[in-house]
Amino acid sequence: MLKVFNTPFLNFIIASLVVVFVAKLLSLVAWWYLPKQGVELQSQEGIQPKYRRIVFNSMLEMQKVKKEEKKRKKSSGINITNMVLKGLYGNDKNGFAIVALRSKIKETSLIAVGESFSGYKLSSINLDSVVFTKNSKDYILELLKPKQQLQSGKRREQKVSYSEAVAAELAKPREVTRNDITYYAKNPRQIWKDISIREVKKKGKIYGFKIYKINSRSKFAKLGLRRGDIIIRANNVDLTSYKAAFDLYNHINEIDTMQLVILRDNEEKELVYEIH
Amino acid sequence: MVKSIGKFFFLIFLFLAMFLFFLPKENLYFFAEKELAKKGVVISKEEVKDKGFRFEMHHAHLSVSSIESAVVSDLSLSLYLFYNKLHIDSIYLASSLKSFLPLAIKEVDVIYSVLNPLAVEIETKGDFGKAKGDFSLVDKKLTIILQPSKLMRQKYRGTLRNFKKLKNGEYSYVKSF
Repeated sequence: MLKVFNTPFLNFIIASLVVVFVAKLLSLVAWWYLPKQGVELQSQEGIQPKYRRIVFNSMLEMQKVKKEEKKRKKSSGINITNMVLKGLYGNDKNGFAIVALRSKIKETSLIAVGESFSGYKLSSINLDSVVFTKNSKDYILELLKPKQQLQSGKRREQKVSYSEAVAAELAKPREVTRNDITYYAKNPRQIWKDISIREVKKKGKIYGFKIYKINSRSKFAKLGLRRGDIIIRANNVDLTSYKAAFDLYNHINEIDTMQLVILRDNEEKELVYEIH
Repeated sequence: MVKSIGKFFFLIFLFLAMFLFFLPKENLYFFAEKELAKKGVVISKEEVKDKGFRFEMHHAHLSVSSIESAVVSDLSLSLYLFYNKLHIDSIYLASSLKSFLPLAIKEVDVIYSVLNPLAVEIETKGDFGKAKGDFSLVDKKLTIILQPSKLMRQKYRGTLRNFKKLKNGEYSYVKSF
Protein backbone atom coordinates (compact mmCIF):
# COMPACT_ATOMS: atom_id res chain seq x y z
CA MET A 1 0.00 0.00 0.00
CA LEU A 2 2.78 2.34 1.00
CA LYS A 3 4.57 1.46 -2.23
CA VAL A 4 1.52 2.53 -4.27
CA PHE A 5 1.46 5.95 -2.61
CA ASN A 6 5.13 6.46 -3.27
CA THR A 7 4.99 5.63 -6.92
CA PRO A 8 5.91 8.39 -9.45
CA PHE A 9 2.55 7.71 -11.08
CA LEU A 10 0.70 8.94 -8.01
CA ASN A 11 2.90 12.04 -7.93
CA PHE A 12 2.01 12.65 -11.55
CA ILE A 13 -1.70 12.27 -10.80
CA ILE A 14 -1.41 14.76 -7.92
CA ALA A 15 0.50 17.20 -10.17
CA SER A 16 -2.23 16.87 -12.80
CA LEU A 17 -4.94 17.56 -10.23
CA VAL A 18 -3.04 20.61 -9.01
CA VAL A 19 -2.83 21.85 -12.61
CA VAL A 20 -6.59 21.35 -13.06
CA PHE A 21 -7.20 23.16 -9.77
CA VAL A 22 -5.01 26.12 -10.82
CA ALA A 23 -6.80 26.29 -14.21
CA LYS A 24 -10.17 26.38 -12.43
CA LEU A 25 -8.92 29.00 -10.00
CA LEU A 26 -7.70 31.22 -12.83
CA SER A 27 -10.98 30.85 -14.70
CA LEU A 28 -12.81 31.89 -11.51
CA VAL A 29 -10.60 34.99 -11.30
CA ALA A 30 -11.47 35.73 -14.94
CA TRP A 31 -15.17 35.19 -14.16
CA TRP A 32 -14.90 37.63 -11.23
CA TYR A 33 -13.59 40.43 -13.45
CA LEU A 34 -15.69 39.81 -16.57
CA PRO A 35 -19.14 41.39 -17.05
CA LYS A 36 -22.13 39.31 -15.95
CA GLN A 37 -24.56 40.78 -18.45
CA GLY A 38 -24.48 41.55 -22.13
CA VAL A 39 -25.72 44.50 -24.14
CA GLU A 40 -29.24 44.67 -25.56
CA LEU A 41 -30.48 47.05 -28.19
CA GLN A 42 -32.67 49.72 -26.63
CA SER A 43 -35.79 49.95 -28.73
CA GLN A 44 -36.96 53.45 -29.42
CA GLU A 45 -40.26 54.97 -30.40
CA GLY A 46 -41.58 53.97 -33.79
CA ILE A 47 -41.74 56.31 -36.74
CA GLN A 48 -45.55 56.55 -36.78
CA PRO A 49 -45.45 59.64 -34.69
CA LYS A 50 -47.49 61.99 -32.61
CA TYR A 51 -47.41 64.19 -35.70
CA ARG A 52 -50.75 65.78 -36.31
CA ARG A 53 -51.36 68.26 -39.02
CA ILE A 54 -53.64 71.12 -38.24
CA VAL A 55 -55.19 72.62 -41.37
CA PHE A 56 -54.55 76.15 -40.33
CA ASN A 57 -55.47 77.56 -43.74
CA SER A 58 -59.09 76.45 -43.46
CA MET A 59 -59.30 77.87 -39.99
CA LEU A 60 -58.17 81.21 -41.36
CA GLU A 61 -60.84 81.01 -44.00
CA MET A 62 -63.40 80.57 -41.26
CA GLN A 63 -61.88 83.58 -39.60
CA LYS A 64 -62.49 85.69 -42.67
CA VAL A 65 -66.11 84.55 -42.92
CA LYS A 66 -66.79 85.77 -39.44
CA LYS A 67 -66.59 89.42 -40.33
CA GLU A 68 -68.94 90.67 -37.71
CA GLU A 69 -67.30 89.61 -34.54
CA LYS A 70 -68.54 90.45 -31.16
CA LYS A 71 -66.39 92.92 -29.40
CA ARG A 72 -64.28 90.98 -27.04
CA LYS A 73 -63.65 91.79 -23.51
CA LYS A 74 -60.20 92.73 -22.43
CA SER A 75 -59.20 91.12 -19.16
CA SER A 76 -56.94 92.65 -16.65
CA GLY A 77 -53.83 90.94 -15.36
CA ILE A 78 -50.04 90.86 -15.19
CA ASN A 79 -47.93 91.06 -18.35
CA ILE A 80 -45.70 88.14 -19.23
CA THR A 81 -42.34 89.45 -20.24
CA ASN A 82 -40.46 86.33 -21.31
CA MET A 83 -43.02 85.23 -23.92
CA VAL A 84 -44.09 86.62 -27.27
CA LEU A 85 -47.48 86.25 -28.94
CA LYS A 86 -46.89 85.92 -32.66
CA GLY A 87 -50.41 85.11 -33.81
CA LEU A 88 -53.86 84.12 -32.64
CA TYR A 89 -57.13 82.78 -33.90
CA GLY A 90 -60.51 82.36 -32.28
CA ASN A 91 -62.48 84.07 -29.59
CA ASP A 92 -62.82 83.70 -25.87
CA LYS A 93 -62.67 79.98 -25.05
CA ASN A 94 -62.12 78.63 -28.56
CA GLY A 95 -59.01 79.14 -30.60
CA PHE A 96 -55.26 78.98 -30.77
CA ALA A 97 -52.29 81.17 -30.03
CA ILE A 98 -48.86 81.07 -31.64
CA VAL A 99 -46.34 81.78 -28.93
CA ALA A 100 -42.59 81.68 -28.48
CA LEU A 101 -40.07 82.41 -25.80
CA ARG A 102 -38.19 85.68 -26.24
CA SER A 103 -34.91 83.74 -25.98
CA LYS A 104 -35.96 81.40 -28.85
CA ILE A 105 -38.21 83.63 -30.86
CA LYS A 106 -38.09 81.42 -33.97
CA GLU A 107 -39.27 78.30 -32.13
CA THR A 108 -42.99 78.88 -32.14
CA SER A 109 -45.64 76.67 -30.56
CA LEU A 110 -49.30 76.41 -31.39
CA ILE A 111 -51.29 76.40 -28.16
CA ALA A 112 -55.03 75.73 -27.96
CA VAL A 113 -57.23 77.13 -25.21
CA GLY A 114 -56.75 74.85 -22.20
CA GLU A 115 -53.20 73.84 -23.17
CA SER A 116 -50.09 74.99 -21.34
CA PHE A 117 -46.91 76.64 -22.48
CA SER A 118 -43.94 77.18 -20.19
CA GLY A 119 -46.18 76.54 -17.19
CA TYR A 120 -48.85 79.04 -18.25
CA LYS A 121 -52.27 77.71 -19.21
CA LEU A 122 -54.02 79.47 -22.09
CA SER A 123 -57.41 80.44 -20.70
CA SER A 124 -58.96 82.83 -23.24
CA ILE A 125 -58.43 84.72 -26.50
CA ASN A 126 -59.05 88.44 -26.98
CA LEU A 127 -58.95 90.68 -30.03
CA ASP A 128 -55.21 91.37 -29.89
CA SER A 129 -54.08 89.50 -26.80
CA VAL A 130 -54.45 86.24 -24.99
CA VAL A 131 -54.88 85.43 -21.32
CA PHE A 132 -52.77 82.82 -19.60
CA THR A 133 -53.39 81.52 -16.09
CA LYS A 134 -50.80 80.40 -13.60
CA ASN A 135 -51.37 79.75 -9.88
CA SER A 136 -54.90 81.22 -10.16
CA LYS A 137 -53.50 84.52 -11.53
CA ASP A 138 -54.24 85.90 -14.98
CA TYR A 139 -51.43 87.00 -17.26
CA ILE A 140 -51.98 88.95 -20.47
CA LEU A 141 -49.82 88.50 -23.51
CA GLU A 142 -50.30 91.03 -26.26
CA LEU A 143 -49.84 90.38 -29.95
CA LEU A 144 -46.35 91.16 -31.19
CA LYS A 145 -46.32 94.48 -33.06
CA PRO A 146 -43.82 95.92 -35.49
CA LYS A 147 -41.52 98.66 -34.17
CA GLN A 148 -43.65 101.40 -35.68
CA GLN A 149 -46.83 101.79 -33.69
CA LEU A 150 -49.82 101.04 -35.87
CA GLN A 151 -52.92 103.08 -35.66
CA SER A 152 -55.72 101.28 -33.91
CA GLY A 153 -57.76 101.07 -37.12
CA LYS A 154 -55.04 99.03 -38.77
CA ARG A 155 -54.78 96.49 -35.96
CA ARG A 156 -57.13 94.01 -37.49
CA GLU A 157 -55.40 94.33 -40.84
CA GLN A 158 -52.06 93.62 -39.23
CA LYS A 159 -53.41 90.56 -37.52
CA VAL A 160 -54.77 89.10 -40.73
CA SER A 161 -51.58 89.75 -42.67
CA TYR A 162 -49.56 88.07 -39.98
CA SER A 163 -51.88 85.09 -40.01
CA GLU A 164 -51.51 84.88 -43.75
CA ALA A 165 -47.76 84.85 -43.33
CA VAL A 166 -48.06 82.00 -40.88
CA ALA A 167 -50.31 80.16 -43.31
CA ALA A 168 -47.79 80.63 -46.07
CA GLU A 169 -45.14 79.28 -43.76
CA LEU A 170 -47.09 76.09 -43.31
CA ALA A 171 -46.62 74.78 -46.78
CA LYS A 172 -49.48 73.24 -48.66
CA PRO A 173 -49.44 69.46 -48.45
CA ARG A 174 -48.01 67.94 -51.61
CA GLU A 175 -49.52 64.77 -52.92
CA VAL A 176 -47.40 61.67 -53.31
CA THR A 177 -48.71 58.49 -54.84
CA ARG A 178 -48.24 55.15 -53.14
CA ASN A 179 -47.00 53.83 -56.50
CA ASP A 180 -44.00 56.16 -56.37
CA ILE A 181 -43.11 54.84 -52.94
CA THR A 182 -43.56 51.23 -54.02
CA TYR A 183 -41.37 51.93 -57.04
CA TYR A 184 -38.54 53.21 -54.86
CA ALA A 185 -39.06 50.44 -52.28
CA LYS A 186 -38.67 47.85 -55.04
CA ASN A 187 -35.75 49.66 -56.68
CA PRO A 188 -33.70 51.07 -53.81
CA ARG A 189 -30.79 51.41 -56.23
CA GLN A 190 -32.82 54.06 -58.06
CA ILE A 191 -32.94 56.15 -54.87
CA TRP A 192 -29.15 56.52 -54.91
CA LYS A 193 -29.23 57.35 -58.61
CA ASP A 194 -31.75 60.11 -58.06
CA ILE A 195 -30.51 61.55 -54.81
CA SER A 196 -27.29 61.64 -52.82
CA ILE A 197 -27.68 62.18 -49.09
CA ARG A 198 -25.01 62.20 -46.41
CA GLU A 199 -25.11 62.87 -42.71
CA VAL A 200 -24.10 66.27 -41.37
CA LYS A 201 -22.38 66.40 -38.02
CA LYS A 202 -22.04 69.10 -35.42
CA LYS A 203 -19.55 68.47 -32.61
CA GLY A 204 -19.30 64.84 -33.72
CA LYS A 205 -23.04 64.21 -33.56
CA ILE A 206 -25.39 63.81 -36.51
CA TYR A 207 -27.95 66.59 -36.67
CA GLY A 208 -29.42 65.94 -40.10
CA PHE A 209 -28.93 64.57 -43.59
CA LYS A 210 -27.77 66.87 -46.35
CA ILE A 211 -28.78 66.54 -49.99
CA TYR A 212 -25.58 66.70 -52.01
CA LYS A 213 -27.05 65.81 -55.36
CA ILE A 214 -30.56 65.58 -56.72
CA ASN A 215 -31.66 64.56 -60.17
CA SER A 216 -33.83 67.43 -61.39
CA ARG A 217 -36.05 65.00 -63.34
CA SER A 218 -36.53 62.68 -60.39
CA LYS A 219 -39.55 62.44 -58.17
CA PHE A 220 -37.48 63.79 -55.28
CA ALA A 221 -37.03 67.09 -57.10
CA LYS A 222 -40.78 67.27 -57.65
CA LEU A 223 -41.24 66.92 -53.91
CA GLY A 224 -39.70 70.34 -53.42
CA LEU A 225 -36.33 69.13 -52.17
CA ARG A 226 -33.23 70.96 -53.38
CA ARG A 227 -29.52 70.45 -53.37
CA GLY A 228 -28.06 71.79 -50.12
CA ASP A 229 -31.21 71.16 -48.05
CA ILE A 230 -30.54 69.51 -44.71
CA ILE A 231 -33.37 67.25 -43.58
CA ILE A 232 -33.42 67.56 -39.81
CA ARG A 233 -36.77 66.09 -38.82
CA ALA A 234 -39.31 63.70 -40.30
CA ASN A 235 -42.72 63.13 -38.76
CA ASN A 236 -41.58 64.74 -35.53
CA VAL A 237 -38.60 62.40 -35.24
CA ASP A 238 -35.22 64.13 -35.13
CA LEU A 239 -32.97 62.58 -37.75
CA THR A 240 -29.96 62.39 -35.48
CA SER A 241 -28.96 58.83 -36.31
CA TYR A 242 -28.92 56.40 -39.19
CA LYS A 243 -31.42 54.34 -37.23
CA ALA A 244 -33.94 57.17 -37.34
CA ALA A 245 -33.47 57.49 -41.10
CA PHE A 246 -33.70 53.72 -41.66
CA ASP A 247 -36.79 53.46 -39.45
CA LEU A 248 -38.46 56.00 -41.69
CA TYR A 249 -37.39 54.06 -44.78
CA ASN A 250 -38.56 50.73 -43.30
CA HIS A 251 -41.97 52.09 -42.27
CA ILE A 252 -42.62 54.17 -45.34
CA ASN A 253 -45.45 51.86 -46.47
CA GLU A 254 -47.35 52.43 -43.21
CA ILE A 255 -47.25 56.21 -43.39
CA ASP A 256 -50.03 58.27 -44.95
CA THR A 257 -48.76 61.72 -44.03
CA MET A 258 -45.18 62.80 -44.05
CA GLN A 259 -43.77 65.98 -42.61
CA LEU A 260 -40.19 66.93 -43.34
CA VAL A 261 -38.43 69.80 -41.63
CA ILE A 262 -35.51 71.02 -43.67
CA LEU A 263 -32.85 73.63 -43.18
CA ARG A 264 -32.60 75.77 -46.29
CA ASP A 265 -30.35 78.85 -46.23
CA ASN A 266 -30.18 78.49 -42.46
CA GLU A 267 -33.95 78.72 -42.18
CA GLU A 268 -36.24 75.93 -41.08
CA LYS A 269 -38.92 75.03 -43.59
CA GLU A 270 -41.65 72.47 -43.34
CA LEU A 271 -42.68 70.24 -46.22
CA VAL A 272 -45.81 68.17 -45.88
CA TYR A 273 -46.79 65.25 -48.08
CA GLU A 274 -50.02 63.34 -48.23
CA ILE A 275 -49.54 59.83 -49.53
CA HIS A 276 -52.44 58.42 -51.52
CA MET B 1 15.04 12.96 -18.62
CA VAL B 2 12.88 12.57 -21.74
CA LYS B 3 10.12 11.23 -19.52
CA SER B 4 10.29 14.33 -17.30
CA ILE B 5 10.15 16.68 -20.28
CA GLY B 6 7.20 14.69 -21.65
CA LYS B 7 5.40 14.99 -18.30
CA PHE B 8 6.12 18.71 -18.20
CA PHE B 9 4.64 19.29 -21.67
CA PHE B 10 1.68 17.10 -20.82
CA LEU B 11 1.01 19.21 -17.72
CA ILE B 12 1.29 22.42 -19.75
CA PHE B 13 -1.14 21.03 -22.31
CA LEU B 14 -3.46 19.85 -19.54
CA PHE B 15 -3.38 23.28 -17.95
CA LEU B 16 -4.21 25.07 -21.20
CA ALA B 17 -6.95 22.58 -22.07
CA MET B 18 -8.52 22.81 -18.62
CA PHE B 19 -8.22 26.57 -18.60
CA LEU B 20 -10.04 26.70 -21.94
CA PHE B 21 -12.65 24.29 -20.61
CA PHE B 22 -13.30 26.23 -17.40
CA LEU B 23 -13.03 29.68 -18.97
CA PRO B 24 -16.34 31.53 -18.46
CA LYS B 25 -17.16 31.83 -22.17
CA GLU B 26 -20.53 33.47 -21.61
CA ASN B 27 -18.88 36.24 -19.61
CA LEU B 28 -16.10 36.56 -22.15
CA TYR B 29 -18.79 36.92 -24.78
CA PHE B 30 -20.48 39.65 -22.71
CA PHE B 31 -17.12 41.43 -22.54
CA ALA B 32 -16.71 41.18 -26.34
CA GLU B 33 -20.29 42.38 -26.74
CA LYS B 34 -19.55 45.50 -24.65
CA GLU B 35 -16.44 46.23 -26.69
CA LEU B 36 -18.42 45.83 -29.92
CA ALA B 37 -21.16 48.09 -28.58
CA LYS B 38 -18.57 50.89 -28.31
CA LYS B 39 -18.15 50.58 -32.08
CA GLY B 40 -21.91 50.67 -32.65
CA VAL B 41 -22.35 46.92 -33.13
CA VAL B 42 -24.97 45.40 -30.83
CA ILE B 43 -26.02 41.75 -30.67
CA SER B 44 -29.36 41.29 -28.99
CA LYS B 45 -32.13 38.76 -28.26
CA GLU B 46 -29.51 36.02 -28.41
CA GLU B 47 -29.38 32.81 -26.39
CA VAL B 48 -25.86 31.81 -25.35
CA LYS B 49 -24.56 28.49 -24.02
CA ASP B 50 -21.17 27.54 -22.61
CA LYS B 51 -20.54 23.91 -23.53
CA GLY B 52 -17.02 23.35 -22.24
CA PHE B 53 -14.82 23.47 -25.28
CA ARG B 54 -17.63 24.97 -27.32
CA PHE B 55 -19.57 28.18 -27.13
CA GLU B 56 -22.95 28.40 -28.82
CA MET B 57 -25.20 31.30 -29.67
CA HIS B 58 -28.67 31.13 -31.20
CA HIS B 59 -31.12 33.59 -32.74
CA ALA B 60 -28.93 36.67 -32.51
CA HIS B 61 -30.08 39.97 -33.94
CA LEU B 62 -27.19 42.05 -35.13
CA SER B 63 -27.52 45.83 -35.26
CA VAL B 64 -25.02 48.30 -36.62
CA SER B 65 -25.46 51.92 -35.51
CA SER B 66 -28.82 50.87 -34.02
CA ILE B 67 -30.01 49.66 -37.43
CA GLU B 68 -31.05 46.01 -37.39
CA SER B 69 -28.74 44.55 -40.01
CA ALA B 70 -28.88 40.75 -39.74
CA VAL B 71 -30.32 37.79 -37.89
CA VAL B 72 -27.97 34.90 -37.15
CA SER B 73 -29.68 31.55 -36.52
CA ASP B 74 -26.82 29.56 -35.00
CA LEU B 75 -23.22 30.27 -34.17
CA SER B 76 -20.74 27.92 -32.56
CA LEU B 77 -17.17 28.60 -31.53
CA SER B 78 -15.10 25.48 -30.92
CA LEU B 79 -11.83 25.95 -29.06
CA TYR B 80 -9.49 22.95 -29.24
CA LEU B 81 -6.15 24.74 -28.74
CA PHE B 82 -4.60 23.58 -32.01
CA TYR B 83 -7.75 23.87 -34.06
CA ASN B 84 -10.33 26.62 -33.44
CA LYS B 85 -13.40 27.03 -35.55
CA LEU B 86 -16.20 29.56 -35.69
CA HIS B 87 -19.19 28.19 -37.57
CA ILE B 88 -22.23 30.30 -38.40
CA ASP B 89 -25.41 28.83 -39.85
CA SER B 90 -28.03 30.88 -41.65
CA ILE B 91 -27.52 34.60 -41.65
CA TYR B 92 -30.41 36.69 -42.93
CA LEU B 93 -29.49 40.23 -43.77
CA ALA B 94 -31.97 43.06 -43.22
CA SER B 95 -34.21 43.88 -46.16
CA SER B 96 -32.73 47.39 -46.31
CA LEU B 97 -29.53 45.77 -47.62
CA LYS B 98 -31.22 43.94 -50.46
CA SER B 99 -29.96 46.42 -52.99
CA PHE B 100 -26.36 45.52 -52.12
CA LEU B 101 -26.40 41.77 -51.45
CA PRO B 102 -28.66 38.71 -51.67
CA LEU B 103 -30.10 38.44 -48.19
CA ALA B 104 -29.49 34.80 -47.26
CA ILE B 105 -26.05 33.51 -46.28
CA LYS B 106 -26.18 29.77 -45.65
CA GLU B 107 -22.99 29.30 -43.65
CA VAL B 108 -19.73 30.90 -42.67
CA ASP B 109 -16.63 29.09 -41.34
CA VAL B 110 -13.71 30.89 -39.77
CA ILE B 111 -10.82 28.55 -38.90
CA TYR B 112 -7.60 29.13 -37.03
CA SER B 113 -5.28 26.14 -36.71
CA VAL B 114 -1.64 25.53 -35.85
CA LEU B 115 -1.12 24.14 -39.33
CA ASN B 116 -1.47 27.70 -40.64
CA PRO B 117 -0.63 29.84 -37.62
CA LEU B 118 -0.14 33.12 -39.47
CA ALA B 119 -3.57 33.28 -41.08
CA VAL B 120 -7.23 32.86 -40.30
CA GLU B 121 -9.12 30.99 -43.01
CA ILE B 122 -12.60 32.03 -44.07
CA GLU B 123 -15.12 30.07 -46.11
CA THR B 124 -18.70 30.98 -46.82
CA LYS B 125 -21.59 30.20 -49.11
CA GLY B 126 -25.03 31.61 -49.69
CA ASP B 127 -27.31 33.07 -52.31
CA PHE B 128 -24.39 35.24 -53.44
CA GLY B 129 -22.36 32.16 -54.37
CA LYS B 130 -19.25 30.81 -52.67
CA ALA B 131 -16.33 32.67 -51.19
CA LYS B 132 -13.01 31.60 -49.77
CA GLY B 133 -10.36 33.73 -48.25
CA ASP B 134 -7.96 34.39 -45.43
CA PHE B 135 -6.86 37.10 -43.10
CA SER B 136 -3.12 37.38 -42.80
CA LEU B 137 -2.15 38.11 -39.20
CA VAL B 138 1.26 39.36 -40.30
CA ASP B 139 0.20 41.80 -43.03
CA LYS B 140 -3.27 42.41 -41.53
CA LYS B 141 -4.65 41.85 -45.00
CA LEU B 142 -7.98 40.32 -45.91
CA THR B 143 -8.21 38.44 -49.19
CA ILE B 144 -11.51 37.06 -50.50
CA ILE B 145 -12.02 35.06 -53.66
CA LEU B 146 -15.65 35.01 -54.73
CA GLN B 147 -17.40 32.64 -57.08
CA PRO B 148 -20.59 34.61 -57.66
CA SER B 149 -23.91 32.89 -58.23
CA LYS B 150 -26.09 33.59 -61.24
CA LEU B 151 -28.27 35.82 -59.05
CA MET B 152 -25.25 37.81 -57.94
CA ARG B 153 -24.00 38.23 -61.51
CA GLN B 154 -27.41 39.36 -62.75
CA LYS B 155 -28.77 41.56 -59.99
CA TYR B 156 -25.76 42.75 -58.00
CA ARG B 157 -23.33 43.97 -60.61
CA GLY B 158 -22.88 47.16 -58.63
CA THR B 159 -21.55 45.20 -55.64
CA LEU B 160 -19.33 43.09 -57.89
CA ARG B 161 -17.72 46.29 -59.14
CA ASN B 162 -15.99 46.51 -55.75
CA PHE B 163 -14.22 43.23 -56.59
CA LYS B 164 -11.48 42.65 -59.12
CA LYS B 165 -12.44 40.25 -61.86
CA LEU B 166 -10.03 37.36 -62.36
CA LYS B 167 -9.41 35.51 -65.59
CA ASN B 168 -11.10 32.32 -64.38
CA GLY B 169 -14.40 34.13 -63.81
CA GLU B 170 -13.86 34.54 -60.08
CA TYR B 171 -13.67 37.86 -58.29
CA SER B 172 -11.13 38.95 -55.71
CA TYR B 173 -11.31 41.50 -52.95
CA VAL B 174 -8.27 42.63 -50.98
CA LYS B 175 -8.32 45.01 -48.04
CA SER B 176 -5.54 45.94 -45.66
CA PHE B 177 -6.23 47.01 -42.11
